[in-house]
Parts: sequence; C-alpha cells; structure tokens
Amino acid sequence: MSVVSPRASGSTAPPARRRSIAGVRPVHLLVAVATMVVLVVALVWDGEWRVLRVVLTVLAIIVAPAVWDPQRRVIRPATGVMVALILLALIGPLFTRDPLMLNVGESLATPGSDIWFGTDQHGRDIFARVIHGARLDLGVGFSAAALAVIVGMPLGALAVLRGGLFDSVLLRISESFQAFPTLLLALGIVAAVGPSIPILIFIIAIVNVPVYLRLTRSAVAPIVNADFVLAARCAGQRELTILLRHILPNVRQVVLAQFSVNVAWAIQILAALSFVGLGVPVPTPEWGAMVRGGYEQMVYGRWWVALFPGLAILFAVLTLNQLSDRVRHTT
Amino acid sequence: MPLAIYIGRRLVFLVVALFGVSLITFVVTRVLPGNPAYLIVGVQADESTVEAVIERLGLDRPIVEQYGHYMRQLFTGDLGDSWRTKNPVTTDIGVRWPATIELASMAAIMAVAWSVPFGVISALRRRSLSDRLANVVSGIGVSVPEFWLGIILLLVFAFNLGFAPAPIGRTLGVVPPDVTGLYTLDSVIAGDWGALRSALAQLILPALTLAITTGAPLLRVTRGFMRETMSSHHIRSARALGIPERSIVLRHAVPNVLLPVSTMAAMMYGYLLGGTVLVEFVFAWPGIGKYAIDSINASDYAPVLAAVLLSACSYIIVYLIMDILHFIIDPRTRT
Repeated sequence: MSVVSPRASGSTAPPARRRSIAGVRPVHLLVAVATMVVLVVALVWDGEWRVLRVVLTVLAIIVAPAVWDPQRRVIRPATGVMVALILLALIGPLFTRDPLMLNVGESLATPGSDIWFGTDQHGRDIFARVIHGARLDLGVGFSAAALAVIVGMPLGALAVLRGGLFDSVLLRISESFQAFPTLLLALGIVAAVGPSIPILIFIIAIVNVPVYLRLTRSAVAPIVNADFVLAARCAGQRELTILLRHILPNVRQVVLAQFSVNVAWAIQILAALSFVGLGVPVPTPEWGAMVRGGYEQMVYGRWWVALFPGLAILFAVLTLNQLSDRVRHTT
Repeated sequence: MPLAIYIGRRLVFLVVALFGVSLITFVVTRVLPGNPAYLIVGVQADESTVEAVIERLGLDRPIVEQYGHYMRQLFTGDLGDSWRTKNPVTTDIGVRWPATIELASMAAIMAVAWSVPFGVISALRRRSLSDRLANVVSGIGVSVPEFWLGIILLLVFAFNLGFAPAPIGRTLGVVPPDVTGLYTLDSVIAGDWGALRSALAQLILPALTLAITTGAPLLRVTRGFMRETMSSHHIRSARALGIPERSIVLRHAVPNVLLPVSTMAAMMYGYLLGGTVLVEFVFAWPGIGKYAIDSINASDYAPVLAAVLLSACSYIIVYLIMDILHFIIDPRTRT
C-alpha cells in the first residue's frame, strides 16, 4: 500500500485524474440517478424495516459507482453481483408474494414452475421468504459491521497516537475478547439481554470491534511518524484533524477489505443465532431461522425447505468474501 | 533466552489474559441491561423469590464487591448450579467436555489431513487444475454456514444413501469402559473393535462438517506460504544446484511452511474447542456446545457462562502450548 496524504503540504500526491463535465463522469451520474430512483421507490413503497432499508440504500449509492472500472473499462464482477444483491434485497420484496401468508392447504409443496422454491410446513412461499430475508440479513450484516468500524477504527488510531498505558490496556482487552469463540460470546450476551433486531446488531458489532481496533492499530503504527504527519503537525493542525484527514485515509483500503469480510461474518452470526432460536422473532423471514425450520423436515426427505435459504447465505457470504479479495488485491 | 524464563513470561501473559477473560464474562452478565435474577428464577416468579435470589447472588451490593465475590467463586472452582439438570455446573461439564474434545480433535485431524497436502500441491503451479480447484473449494468452504452444511451432509449420507447412522448421540453400540472419556480412544484401549466402529460412525459426519469449514482457511494459508517459499532464494539456489524437484519440495520447502501452518492449525484447534456449538446442535452431539444451547433455551444461565469461560480458557491454553513448542522447535524465536 502506498502511503500518501494528498492534503498535506509538500506531499507527493498523485495528480488528480482527468474528469469529464464538472468532475462527474456520465457513467457515475447515470448509475447514481438510476439507483436513486429505484431506491426512493423502495423506501416509500413498503413499511417494514425502514432503518435497515435506509442503511442498504446509502450503501448501494456508495458502492454503485465502483461497479465500473474506468481504467480497464469493464464491469467489476464481484462488485456488480454485490450491488445486484443489495438491489434485490431492497426492491425484490415488492414483487414477491406475502412471505408471512399461511396456507395450510399448500404446505410442503415441492418446488415447481409456479412455486419456485416450494413451500414450508405452514404453506409459506419459500422464494418470497428468501427474498425478504435478504433485506434483513444484508441490512443487519451491514449495520453491525458499520457500527464495529465506527467504534473500532478511531479507537485503534487513538491507541497508537496516545500510546503508553492506554494502548496496552486496550490491546490486552481486545486480545482477551478474541480468545472468546465469537458465536458463544454472542450467545451468552443474547441470553442475558434478550433478542431483538437492534440488540442483535449491537451484539454482533461488539464482538467485531476488537478486529478493527487491532487492524487499524497495526496499519496506523508505521505511518504515525511519517513525514506528512510531522509536516501537518508543524503546520499547527489539531490532532483530530491530522487523524481524520491524514492518517485514517491511508488505512481505508485495509479496513474496506476487512469490512466486506466482516459483513459476511455478521450475516453468518445472525443466521447461526436464529438457527438455534436466539435470533429474530419467529415468523420473520430470516435465512438462518428458515434453515432451522427445514432441519425438522429433513428427516422426511423434504430437502427444499432448508436448501434454498442455506444457498442464499452461501451465495451472499461468498460474494462478500470475493469482494474483499478484490479490494485487497487492488492495493 | 532460556526456556524456563520464556515459559515463565508466557505464564504471566496467560494470567493476564485469563484475568481479562473473567472480567469480560463478568461485565457481560452484570453491567449490561437485564437482571440476572430473572434469568435464574424465570420471568413469572413473584417479587419475594426475585428479592431472595438478588440477595443470594449479592446483586444488591456494590459492583466492586460483587466482582470480588465472583472472583473468589472462580478460584474455588465454583461455577454455580444448573437448575435444569440439578447438578453443579462443573459436574455437568466434566461429563460433556470429553465429547467436545473428541469431536474437535477428530475434526482438526481431518482438516489438517486434507487441507495441508492440498495447499502444498496447489501452490506448486499457478493456474493449474489443482490451483483452480483449491480456489473453488476454499472459497466455498470459508463461506458455507456449517449448520447448513451439516444438514445437507446428513440428508445425503444418512437419510438418502444410508452410509451413516442417524444423529442420535455418540454411539449406537456399547459404551466402552471409561479411561479418557473419548469413546474412540477408550474402545481402542479396551480392544473392542465393534465399539470403535460404532463410535466412529457417529463421529464421522459432524467431524467432516467441521473439517470442511475449518480446513478451508488452512488451505489458503498453506498455499500462500508455500507460494512464497517456492519463490524464495534458497529454493532458487537448490534448483541451480540441480536438486530434483521432489526433494526441493519435500525437504527444502515444506519444512519452512510447516511452522506458520502449525501455528494456524493450533489456532484452529483452539477455536474448534469452543466452535463446535452449531454442529453439536445439528448432530445432537452431547458436548459443551449443546449443553450451552439447551441451557439457554431453558433460561438456565450458569452453564452458559461456564461454557463461554471454558472455551475461552482452552483457546488461550492451546495457544500457549503452541508458542512454547515453537520456542523449542524454531531457533529463530530464541533471540
């Protein structure tokens, strides 16, 4: 990773790339407008999980322009699939059947041309539930990872800047945290506090904060005394400004790669918690909870109830991991 | 640095880490919102029962005093009682711990057995068939949710093909005489091959599930280090000297890779000791993880804490042992 602080005086910032009209590329503009239109529709149309949808919307707007690789003039596959997934999570639910509608007459129907993924033991459409689950799983995953970054990154940077006792205490605490098996720790906390969506987001974030703390710490440590930081300090800038404008931007790439992996983890933890019955409340369509429903049907050979939600988890997590690999390799 | 001093220093770190672990467990249960008294008596209990429990647990006393009490209990090995099983938690755990160790060990052995050789082979030639295959396998292995993989394996091998028995505990046959608590090892000691077969049949699918998910990152690490080693100077020199490829790989490259890979494998094993929860749940494997989940579902809190504490401690201890072994094996760590 190259170390640059474009805003520091005397730094060797690369010349700004040539842009088209008023600094905005037509491709970006098109993508942004299209996303906006689609997302505004998604936000206004339908009532549940508003906060999660706002998170996903913001994310889609941030990520969408990165789909196009301007240098090689191609679409980046992993990013493209990711954006497609987020869009599917946001607007997909508007076009499916009701994921909560019980239909005992059609319970445990095999997958077919009109009911693509079959129905579960209560006759609910599994396809509709998988699509609705995407909104919840991706939403919770992104929110939890974002919260962990927001807390962990400044703490890690601060640990390096302050040094001394503060640093070693933080480090020891995060080391101890990492000795805990993530899932068991999350289970323990949920059991103490009780499950609900905000609490689940909070808990998944807590168990992931030490990851960012250590990551940021190790990335900041080598550049904290770099020339551009010293220059900024000589210029009389405040510590906070130096941190936000000169140090953290250099850590961005590493954290971004980790963020993607972390969303994947968060989704896995949420699914696992729901699978053992400590996640989302019962009728809510969530992938892990759906696999749990299918677990009981498996003895009778009804494979489709558990198969499709599990594949959805696999696909989402795989995409996020691929995305992380791409980000890491472009540094 | 002499070995004794090194071990001494590591033991000090160990104490600090264990202290941190106990502190976190305490904070999680006492400081977070939610009243532990309700977890013990249930939500329907009347005022006076709750009051009594609060008094017995000392929840009405200052937080520092509570912490002192909690630490005293830990030091005397008192982890509380489980009201679901009516036993002291330590007794319950003593019965279930060997089941988890057996599963974790078997899974670790299987994971190392497939992923390390595969990693070495796939690193030898970039973009070869094995390299591409390793990409796909490790990508899926890292991403697949293990509880779902367990269900799919059960569906295919137990219910459709009938290769494996249904998941109902650790053995269908006789339980071998108790020596180590590991059924497989005990039946070997007793020389009872029927019991060994029966115990292995139950063990194979849950261990396979874990071996796939934990072997995948190990495969990536092995391949990464192997690639790095193969492009290093000493390998180039060995090539220049005309040493046969086979000998270059096995005698000059692999030993260098085994060191970082063994660290990773030890971490994986430490993780497995607390990370078998979901698989134990899917396969009804009577270990610590299933104990924890059953206890949570019965609002029985002491066992959950004990399970969390136990797995964190075992992770730290496994890691410590690995560190000391490294110190003995690798001269470079002794500076």
